[in-house]
Amino acid sequence: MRTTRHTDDGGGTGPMDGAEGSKGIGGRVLRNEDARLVSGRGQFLGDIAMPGIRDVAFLRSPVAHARIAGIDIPDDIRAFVHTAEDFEGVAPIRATAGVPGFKSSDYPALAKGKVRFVGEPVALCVAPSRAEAEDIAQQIFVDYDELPAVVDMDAALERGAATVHDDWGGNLVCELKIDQGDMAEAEAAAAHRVEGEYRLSRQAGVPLEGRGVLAYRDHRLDELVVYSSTQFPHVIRTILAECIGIEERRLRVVAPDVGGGFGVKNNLQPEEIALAALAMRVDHPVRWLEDRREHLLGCAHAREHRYHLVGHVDERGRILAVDARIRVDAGAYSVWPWTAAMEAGMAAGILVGPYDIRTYRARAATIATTKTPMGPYRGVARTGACFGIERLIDDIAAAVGRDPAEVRLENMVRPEQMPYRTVTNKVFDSGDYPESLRRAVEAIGRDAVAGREAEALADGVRIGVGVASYTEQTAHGTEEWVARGLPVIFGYEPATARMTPDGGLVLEVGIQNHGQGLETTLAQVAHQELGIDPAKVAVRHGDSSLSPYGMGTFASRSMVMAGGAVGLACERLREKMLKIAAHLMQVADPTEVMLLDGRAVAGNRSVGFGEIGAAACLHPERLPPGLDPGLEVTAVYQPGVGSGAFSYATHAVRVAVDPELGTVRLLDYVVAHDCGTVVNPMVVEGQIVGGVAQGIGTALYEEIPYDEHGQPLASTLMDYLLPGATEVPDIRVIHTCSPSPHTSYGIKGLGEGGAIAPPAAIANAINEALRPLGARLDETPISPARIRAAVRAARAGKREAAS
Amino acid sequence: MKPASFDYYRARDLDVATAVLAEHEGAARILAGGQSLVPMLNLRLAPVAMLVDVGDIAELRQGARDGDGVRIGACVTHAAIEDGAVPDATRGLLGRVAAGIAYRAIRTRGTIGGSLALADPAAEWPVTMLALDATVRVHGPHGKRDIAMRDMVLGAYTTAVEEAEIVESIAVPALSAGARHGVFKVCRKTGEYAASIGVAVSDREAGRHALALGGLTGGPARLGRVERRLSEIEAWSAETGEAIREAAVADLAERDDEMSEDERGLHAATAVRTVKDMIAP
Amino acid sequence: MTRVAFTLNGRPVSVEVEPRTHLADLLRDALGQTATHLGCEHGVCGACTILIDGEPARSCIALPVALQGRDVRTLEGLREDPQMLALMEAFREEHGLQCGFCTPGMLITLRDLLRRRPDIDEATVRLELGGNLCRCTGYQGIVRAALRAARHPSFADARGE
Repeated sequence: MRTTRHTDDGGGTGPMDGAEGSKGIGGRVLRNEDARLVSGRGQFLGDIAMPGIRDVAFLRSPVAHARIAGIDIPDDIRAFVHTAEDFEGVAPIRATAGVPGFKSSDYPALAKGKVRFVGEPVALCVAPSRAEAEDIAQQIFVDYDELPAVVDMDAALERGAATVHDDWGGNLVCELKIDQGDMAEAEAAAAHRVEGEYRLSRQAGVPLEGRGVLAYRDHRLDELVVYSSTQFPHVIRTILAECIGIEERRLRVVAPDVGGGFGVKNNLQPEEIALAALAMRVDHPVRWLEDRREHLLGCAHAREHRYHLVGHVDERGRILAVDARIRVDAGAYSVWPWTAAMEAGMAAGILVGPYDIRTYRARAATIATTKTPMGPYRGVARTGACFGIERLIDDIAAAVGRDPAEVRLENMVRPEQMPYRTVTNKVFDSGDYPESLRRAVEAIGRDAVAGREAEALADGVRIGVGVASYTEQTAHGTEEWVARGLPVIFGYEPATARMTPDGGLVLEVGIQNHGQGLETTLAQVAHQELGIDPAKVAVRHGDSSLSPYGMGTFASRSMVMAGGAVGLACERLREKMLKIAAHLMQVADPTEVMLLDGRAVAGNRSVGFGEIGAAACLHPERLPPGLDPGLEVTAVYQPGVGSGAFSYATHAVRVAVDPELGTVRLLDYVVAHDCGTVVNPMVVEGQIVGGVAQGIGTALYEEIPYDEHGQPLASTLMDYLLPGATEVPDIRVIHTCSPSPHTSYGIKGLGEGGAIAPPAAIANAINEALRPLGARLDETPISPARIRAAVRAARAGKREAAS
Repeated sequence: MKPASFDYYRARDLDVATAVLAEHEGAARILAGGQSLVPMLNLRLAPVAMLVDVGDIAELRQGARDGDGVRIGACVTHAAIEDGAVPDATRGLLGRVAAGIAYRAIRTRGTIGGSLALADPAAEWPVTMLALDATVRVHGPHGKRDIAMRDMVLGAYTTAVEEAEIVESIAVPALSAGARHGVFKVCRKTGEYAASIGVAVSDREAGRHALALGGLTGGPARLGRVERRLSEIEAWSAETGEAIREAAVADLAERDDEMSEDERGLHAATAVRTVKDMIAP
Repeated sequence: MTRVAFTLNGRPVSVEVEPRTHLADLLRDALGQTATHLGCEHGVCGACTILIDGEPARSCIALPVALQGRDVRTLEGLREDPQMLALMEAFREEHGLQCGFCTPGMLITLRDLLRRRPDIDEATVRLELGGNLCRCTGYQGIVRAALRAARHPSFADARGE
């Protein structure tokens, strides 16, 4: 860890003790981006006005699986309709994974020959308004030769199931196998065999702003400009250029203000290809704004995992081995760049959680179905894996008759084992996992856990407490992405730091800020290095023509990666500033100069940043001899290791369950969290609480069920429930700090963490509440209907047992 | 998500409005608050050639005392009832029900007449008005007629209102000073449509006891066996609850013998909780 | 097309609209008022909440043809309003926004709530926010911002405190 850094926060020993009042790392600095957003002056994709722009509506498949026998387009609208045959030469999305046996699929921008899910784009319609484009879409007749839908992932693997991709000979995309330790020995030594099937249902990401693309040709610059509501504009430029056959220098991709992403805007989208290809063929700007129904049907889905787990444990609940069969419903196609294989591979890789488990067998199957492709969503596979292992641990605790928290402590990796290499080769860098568990349990009420209180309240309402712990691999670098076999290796981030002649600072970064507060937190890093007021730092991002090539915002990476890059760039900028300042003040030794509050200070002499900027940019005659003019540094940052910085937490929740109505109320929710060095506690808490709210959605509300014909049954927000302000309790966050030894400032990522544990913690709490009734809930969302069914089944079981 | 084209007609009075409706033979729809209709239009789920806007007809926007009771114009908004902007003869029941409908920004536009005419099975007003023995007045090509709430809702989204008729007002009888009422809804989240909803009224002075349930297939229903029990209940106890439940299960079985065990259990629980809300809130 | 005249943010406007065009599209596309956002277009998410005759309404399910003579106000017309300014400042102080997409609808809803309900507490704020979805914040910052703004003189004075 670097320890010698400039700091202005009161003579501390290093940057990590920045007080909340500081403007640097650790300070609760209010956000720079708020001024425009809070006054409604943000510029989201749909806010961009452009003369002559036309709207696009997609005609989407109404059936799950069919051959397209023909598309009949009336002559009077033919000119405004584009189908696959009009997009000759446009390449499909083809994501390939390094996993042995992985089957690739072509995911065309507009369906070719076959449709494979309800919502798949079939034709594109252009008109002066979206309403008219939808009118045109309604006049197109597509002749579908329907094929059997492939709806259930387990049934999809059975002999005789219809195949999603004709040339595959089955629906298995790939299977990953892990065999570590001696399973037979563990089985023989075990006092108990605990088995369970745990399932997360299919859901959507639902950023409040849908996706959107706007494209036009800029003839002056001879380039195609594509605005997209995306999390990674540079990477999109690369793959988009490839798909539509244009040189990258002639393509600019811009992400304007983005109204939430959460991973679902982190894929190459068929609509991006279609709009870019369209803009190359017409003479006016075009835009497509995803509406909510399109989002629920056509944007990548998430979470549909099944875990069949067997734990072999001793009489105290010490886990001797875990045997896992994991299935992931990847839908019809692989999304780029992640591929269909990522979820299952990741789930198998992290299933053992924060626990010291040395014997582990996993079979992780990725299965194609005629449903919307699955892609990354906040937490990605971590949420499913956490649900599996944390539910299993509670079942183990019940089997051995111990407190679930005690069983967790029994198995958890201990601080003295750090750095700890897991049975699947993940390297936990630092932290005290048991401490987070102890703190969460203490905060939620130890008595509640220890006493197994479950007394019936009014109307038969029952109380339960549940906990779930996890680790969150963040900011993983080259080594991890290479191991995952992805087409792009997200190992670094760049930053350019440029001082303006008047002493302000511009940071140009390759990430994309869509709510994370990076226009402020990166400015705080600059303050840490340069002593400049964060309010005087402009953070520019989200534009492939603006900053050096960067990877984007996902995988809880931006603060570590872009923060590291800004830190490096500013550190180098500082060296030059000190030389110039020393020269201007006639101080012989630049090391005697300090940067403080926008000034360079040496003893009782000082110059403002404006004088330094002016010398560098406007007055080379004022510079020390031999020093180049200009004040601009580009730096690229890679963390010390590629294996990531591991944040971790324990969530604890107290619930009230009404067994008769099936309703659940969250009475209290605690997160005991450690993400290393906190750059801005306000932003960190916001990320955690927001993540928990999404996790509550997964646990209790959000689901896109499909009927046997492959029809999705939730296509509006009337059927697809999102948690509102009464469904999310006030969440209490407890921070501890174990800096990462591998990253600048000891920062760890944390964007996804909040969404990982809620389904597990809430399910554990509900199961505890209902255990006296004999009811079990192992599938999300734990809806009133599912609870009532479980209670009814338990009663029927009891009646049967009694008779 | 934009509607297909339709024409628009702003009606100045009810006669003109019914004439336009009649002319379009089922292809015209009435626009009141639009809070249910316009979403359906946006989703292109409701083909409509013509919208007849009755929102500017002043008489529909008024509520006034009518004998002991109150007559509420069809275009009175939920928010107006919530805020007490129209007189109340129900000891606060209407205000309480109104305040629980969807969200404020819906309540400021959505109307009581629109809710009754749409007859969403999960909606608050049909079940509430059924419990109150209210009467709907409709205006049609052949004049006005009154429809008792018991005869109003024929099923989900189906009412006794004819094609060219417009709901004009609803007459709500008064409750006595000592009357009590209870409301209970089973919703997964705030403002969401209820899976089950109950409204109970107990007016000893008038000898009237009512329990209406909504969320049922086929429209809201009164539960006769439960209502007969209501007259006997003095205080709440577990036994009372069980008695209500038994009566509700019998009523529900009689009404719909295809109802699943789960639905029956849920609605019976709603009946119990509604009565409990009335007696021991 | 039908001509409709109404007041937008205190100024008269007169526009030709198709009957099917909803108010949010008219505001955003034809009138360039893009502070009003569209999150669902079927009246659930609350991002498009504006004021019609001073009362909050969903602009995605309001038809301009039916708004002849009405008074429409969007966030653009409330940027100088002392109560709105107090709310905006509270949102910043309490981190009541992340991506900012739901924020204009939240602000319009809360300004109305704080004017209408002097008895404001956390439970009331949460209940009344039920019709405004936020996917980023988990609502905590928004609720705190509302409670903070309620103490601001622009609201407290209006309540006669």
